[in-house]
Amino acid sequence: MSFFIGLISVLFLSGVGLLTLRIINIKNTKFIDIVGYSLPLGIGFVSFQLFILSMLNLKWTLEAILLPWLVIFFIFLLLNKEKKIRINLTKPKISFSHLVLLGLVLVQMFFVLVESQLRPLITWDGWATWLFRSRMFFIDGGVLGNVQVFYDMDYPVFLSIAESVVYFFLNRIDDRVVLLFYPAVYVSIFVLIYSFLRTRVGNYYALIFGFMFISLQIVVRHAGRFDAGQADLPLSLFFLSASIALVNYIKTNNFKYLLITFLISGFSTQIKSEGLPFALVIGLISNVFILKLKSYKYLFLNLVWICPIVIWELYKVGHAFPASFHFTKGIYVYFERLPQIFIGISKELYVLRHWSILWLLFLYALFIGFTNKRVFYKESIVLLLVAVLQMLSYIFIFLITPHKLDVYIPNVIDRLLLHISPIIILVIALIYSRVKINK
Amino acid sequence: MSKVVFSLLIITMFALGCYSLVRNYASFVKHEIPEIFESDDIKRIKYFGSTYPVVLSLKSNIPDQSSLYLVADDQKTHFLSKYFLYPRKVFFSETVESNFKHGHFDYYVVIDNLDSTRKYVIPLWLKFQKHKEIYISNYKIQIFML
Repeated sequence: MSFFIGLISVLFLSGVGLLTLRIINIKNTKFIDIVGYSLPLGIGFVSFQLFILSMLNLKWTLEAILLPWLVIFFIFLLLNKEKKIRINLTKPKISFSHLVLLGLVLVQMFFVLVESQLRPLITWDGWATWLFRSRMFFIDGGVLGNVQVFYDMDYPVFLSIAESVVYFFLNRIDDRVVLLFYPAVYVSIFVLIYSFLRTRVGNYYALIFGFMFISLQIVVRHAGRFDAGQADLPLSLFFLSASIALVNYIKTNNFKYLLITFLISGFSTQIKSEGLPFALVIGLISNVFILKLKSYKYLFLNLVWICPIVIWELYKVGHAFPASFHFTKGIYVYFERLPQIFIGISKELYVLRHWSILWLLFLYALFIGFTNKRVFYKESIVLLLVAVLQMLSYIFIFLITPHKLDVYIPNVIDRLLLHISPIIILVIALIYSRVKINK
Repeated sequence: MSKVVFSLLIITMFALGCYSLVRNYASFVKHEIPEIFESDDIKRIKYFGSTYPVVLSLKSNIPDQSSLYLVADDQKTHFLSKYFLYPRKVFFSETVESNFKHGHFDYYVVIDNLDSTRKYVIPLWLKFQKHKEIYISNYKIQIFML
């Protein structure tokens, strides 16, 4: 029973995302093309709602979580009652090879689901931060600034808030059922990869590349075999969905995609600190295209991604969070570390048990791209730019961090690469499709 | 040529994905099926060792809305107690008196690992406080009420 209630709570988060997507109402899109955005949007909106309730000193309850969305849902239904919901019942043409691939994907997803439910929370990251705070928020009925300060937790809170929603549905803490959250993120990543690629490289290759990504052992580990970091796969989902929405905006100049891009990149800043450089990267690229497409009226949408950052920073100032002790003596850039950083990153790229040959494939795709410029085009260049700039921001952190790099890089690099890896698989697929056409 | 190499690399990665999938299921059948029938508490003891019963004993001996100064020599005890004891607030230290502030805490807890060479010497002023002594596995737990 707990399992099904947990499942309903995760579906609720996705449902909130779908509702907001229906309200945004992007014309001429199929369900499969927008459903991938639903989980990151749902996580973002519900967490934002609960965080605001806490700022207003209102206690969280299941009713407080559900009510606003039910009201919005019924208003939406009333306003749209004239419109008939069309369901396409024509049987899709599926070949045997598609069925085999789909079967592989489903078998892989089933494994991750079972693994996630096999044991309760056993990770350091979970006890120390992410699910510790979910537990805290459930028991306290909100985010209490003084408790955050006591435990010196200035990390963003949205992920822990979203996970505490599962506890409110269950009306108790169950740190096994809550891990259902991660297979949901895993499925969402696959859906996004598939839906993006199916119109660009075809269903068959979309399934192949989607499977290649979800079968990476580092992804399986983060989604199901829970012995790793807890916020990194969700952050990958936010990075991927915002990047895809950005590419769609550039392709269509439809401001609704830009709105989704900014919403998700803004929410990503409240998932994990690494979301902040990502939002800056997305903001930079988006604004370049806004100017290039002469859509100046869209510039005000920048407020959407800036707003969550400002609110969280004001909250920290208001509760007198202690300043980070890392840079008390100022920031110094240690350029002499560059060789060590590149060696540290390179070592991780060839860890087959994490990445299979993803990075080898990526380097080969880049080699092809630089020797035959025709295979690069706007979409692959934008995605590549997002991934490269994000990676550069991590390299910059390595240049200034007071941590010892010989310990720090091996500790974090697999997770940092995980953040951008779904974008990398898209770049590989796009370049491959061009190589096929050109030859 | 580049298309052939590209395709070969993709086929290789796809095949490796299939291989991992089969290997994961095989490992599941071989090692993990018995875990399905174990309770979450049994699994926690399996993964956390005797630290988990130690934390549970603290939970049953210290009221919910208290703050405690916890002295132990490993980080696992620190994080597990912080997690499982909430809403009790835990301030962790690896030494007996560092950072201790009178009036800030309701309980002073010392956890000695009897297998370890490091033994905690209880400060003199604590000897007059009311206290409980509990033994769990290789741990000696002393709970002082302040």
